Amino acid sequence: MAVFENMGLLALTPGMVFMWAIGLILIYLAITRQYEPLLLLPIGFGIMLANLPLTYLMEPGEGLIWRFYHYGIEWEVIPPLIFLGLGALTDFSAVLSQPRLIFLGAAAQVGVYVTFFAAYAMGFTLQEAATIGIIGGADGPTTIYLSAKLAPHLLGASAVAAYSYMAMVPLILPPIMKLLTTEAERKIRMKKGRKVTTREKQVFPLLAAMVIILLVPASAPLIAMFMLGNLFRESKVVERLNEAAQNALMNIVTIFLGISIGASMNAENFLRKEVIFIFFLGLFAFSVSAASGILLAKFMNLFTSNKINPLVGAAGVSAVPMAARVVQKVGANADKQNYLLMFAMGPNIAGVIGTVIAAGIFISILQ
Amino acid sequence: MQAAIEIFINGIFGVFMGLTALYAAIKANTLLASRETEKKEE
Repeated sequence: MAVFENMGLLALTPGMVFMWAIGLILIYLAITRQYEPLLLLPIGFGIMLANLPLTYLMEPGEGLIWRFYHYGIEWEVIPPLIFLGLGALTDFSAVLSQPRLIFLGAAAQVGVYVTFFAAYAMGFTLQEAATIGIIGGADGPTTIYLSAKLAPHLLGASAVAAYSYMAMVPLILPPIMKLLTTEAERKIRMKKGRKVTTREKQVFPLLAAMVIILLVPASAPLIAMFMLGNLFRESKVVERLNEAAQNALMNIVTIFLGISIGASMNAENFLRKEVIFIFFLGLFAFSVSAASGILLAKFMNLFTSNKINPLVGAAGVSAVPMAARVVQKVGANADKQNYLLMFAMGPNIAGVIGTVIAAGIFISILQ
Repeated sequence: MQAAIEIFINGIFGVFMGLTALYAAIKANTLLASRETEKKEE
């Protein structure tokens, strides 16, 4: 009977059922633990949909979710739109008042390149290695953007690894921070930065977009939208656009992003031994990035009397603002009166820019 | 392996170059802003 022939139940494979379990775990973590719920929830649901047989939701040219995926991610529309929203949400005061902290965001990108090298040595192609390395930048949209361009078959795994580790920043960073700093270093109180004028904040997005895009043109789609969003915010004259970029638009694209990534994770693509390596290397990238930021802060302290609390260096892994909050918490454990949050936001935001530059460099060389 | 080493070196150099340029741009922006403030005060 035709009704039996077209029944999904008969086409079910053990791999699909296993992927349901992964989808359910993500949904569970999102709901009960609130780990990156805005993304892990639609990703988890997308995984379950992608592993229901005979739905053709991801059928090229036909499927509903394939259309979201194709026009949103493959056409590189969604990650830049997320960056527009991020720009509208970002206050650059911390970077502008203490620009030297930018270098800590740069140091964190060492983890990206060390992992790239390690992944290549383990047998991944250059494009795959770049996609795995960028997980260390802890920046979801950039990871997705780079993966879609260089290694689309790794998109699901790399995105889930990036968002999972971002959610686990409070677990991953503290041991590294404590291992690489002394109690005395964790107690360092930093001098408050100067007050930043409105005009400076308005000029910054224009200046930053020009400088970075002139040096690394391949980073233009992400940096341009990031800085446009920030200009909306700082100009104070387009409050409607600013509000739309921060809320409505951001929320809409997040829905399409989450479900598209989830739906790209079918059993055939995901259940491979390479995926285990991706998760392992992603964690390695994250750890090296945090360690590099801390070590550069310690190195900078050798040459300055205005000391930097090395914990702040760990915030160079983007994961805004979670990494900065973890720095604040670990710092407060050593000295309750030490407020590091504002200082940590500097490298945290610089880390986002640094990761976009790193992705731009990968694209310009490898594509 | 040669290509990977080149990307590694180019990448780290490129990131530091990009953010150093941004640092210089922020410094220049700060200088201009402080001059503007001084003029207003005068």
